[in-house]
Amino acid sequence: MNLMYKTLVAVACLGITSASSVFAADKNYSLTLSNPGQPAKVEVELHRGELTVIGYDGSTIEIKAEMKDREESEQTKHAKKIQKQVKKSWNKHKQPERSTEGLKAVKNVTVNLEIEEDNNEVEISSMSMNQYVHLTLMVPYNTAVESEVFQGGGIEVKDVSGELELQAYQGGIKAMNVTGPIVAETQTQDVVIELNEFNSETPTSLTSHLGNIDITLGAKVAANINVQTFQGEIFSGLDSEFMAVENVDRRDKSRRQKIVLGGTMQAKVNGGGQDLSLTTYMGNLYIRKAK
Amino acid sequence: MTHDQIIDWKLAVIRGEVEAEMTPEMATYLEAHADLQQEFDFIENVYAKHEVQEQAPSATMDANFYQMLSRAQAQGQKHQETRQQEQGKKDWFQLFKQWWLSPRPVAQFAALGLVFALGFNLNTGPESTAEPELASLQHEVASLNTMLALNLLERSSASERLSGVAYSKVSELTNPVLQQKLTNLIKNDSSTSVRLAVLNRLALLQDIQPYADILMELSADNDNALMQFSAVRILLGSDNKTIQKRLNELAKDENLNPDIKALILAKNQQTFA
Repeated sequence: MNLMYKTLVAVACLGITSASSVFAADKNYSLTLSNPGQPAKVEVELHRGELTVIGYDGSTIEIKAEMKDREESEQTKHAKKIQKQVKKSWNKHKQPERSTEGLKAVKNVTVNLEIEEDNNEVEISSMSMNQYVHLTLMVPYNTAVESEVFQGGGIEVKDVSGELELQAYQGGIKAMNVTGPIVAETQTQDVVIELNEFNSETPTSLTSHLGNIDITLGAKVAANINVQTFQGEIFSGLDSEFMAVENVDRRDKSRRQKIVLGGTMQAKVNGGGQDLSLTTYMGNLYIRKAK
Repeated sequence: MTHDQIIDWKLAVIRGEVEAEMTPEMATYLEAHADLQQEFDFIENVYAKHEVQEQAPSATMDANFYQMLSRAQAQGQKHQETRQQEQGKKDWFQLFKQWWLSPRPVAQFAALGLVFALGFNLNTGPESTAEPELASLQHEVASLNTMLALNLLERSSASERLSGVAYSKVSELTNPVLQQKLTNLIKNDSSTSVRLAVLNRLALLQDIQPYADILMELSADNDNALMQFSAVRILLGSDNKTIQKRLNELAKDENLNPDIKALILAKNQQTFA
């Protein structure tokens, strides 16, 4: 989205602090699109948190932001411990720590969320590093979703027929009843996708560095399924067999050819179609047929 | 109202399917978007240049183009009879057909117009399957694919960039702009899927020398093992002695991913066995 043409529709810096809700604060916002009924695109960036996107039969974007007091994992606790020690060593030659005697800690439960809209393109971001935000969006079915979640949890998408571009650096990605195209990537957690139909206009590609990829294909999905894993295993419930892909470059002016065998395997489902690529480094690949 | 809707309307006007008069809503939208007016000018120029502005791309022209393409394929087969080449041709044709049937915005439409014009002109001339014409045709089609690939590689959608990488398989990779674009994608694209797709494309090159530096850089980067493995595999496939020497140097690096080190050493053992 070009900044020049951006229209700031809403900047929601939502401060809610109440004694009864020290550990959680919810905020809802209903965003009216510039062109209701037309396809929309939503871009979400969360520094720390998790994202849920649900398609519905409506024309507005319903936003619910929830501050969560998420239980810290052992890994996070360990990281915090190290961080504290590092800070301590930094401060060694500086001022001594301020006294907190007689003071009580005030938990920051302000939901800091920015929402912008221009011509049905919506940008939502929460870049606060010390807040865990669970963001739930209700979007019209035909909405494209582009999202990055840097820390914390993952991304879950349900009942959305627009293009999906999803990246979760610490959490997993789960998409149910979607059509794609999808480009999704996780680092350590799994990518789980259920494709009832398959948008064949442009390729779909799912990548996980250390996690597994588990995909379930609807009966009518026609695609060329490309699979590649460096240290994982491949499990398939498809009727089609996977064959090694043979690539040939015949465009060299000297009339030499280059043939590359192996590396990637391919199965044509329902006669083949657009590329649907699954790649992992260490994780396994699971390809299932919907029942 | 969106750009795509307006462009669809413009194309329909050119094809004579709708009235040329804009609705007030469209006019307001166009006024507010100077870039859209530039795209209109581009479409009109393409039609003016190739003298097809008065003609819709009719079924006859379409058929003529496919006839011409079939003849080009038949002619090509005389010179390229290996099984692998036939497979490659089939892949190309299927890719082309996919593109043909897939509605795309302006640059692709421009390419489409040019192909129609080319097919129309060749089929209205005297019957000839002479090699220079065939070579010229193949060059034109490769150039169009290059143009299309470049256009798609610049899109904000990762899926569309993946399409661009697919089109680069039927493009001239000697094109310096395309080379630069692919190098940029390998270095900077936000999606590992796109970066891996580019590497898979490069794996087919006869000579990877122009990409040797970036591939070596990726091979030494332990942060993304997927990219690292793919890059090393491409480099190991090269018979360039300098590249092999650089890989051996890399294998001596104590910090290198042990799996990568093992891969390089295993290849060396195979070479000397």
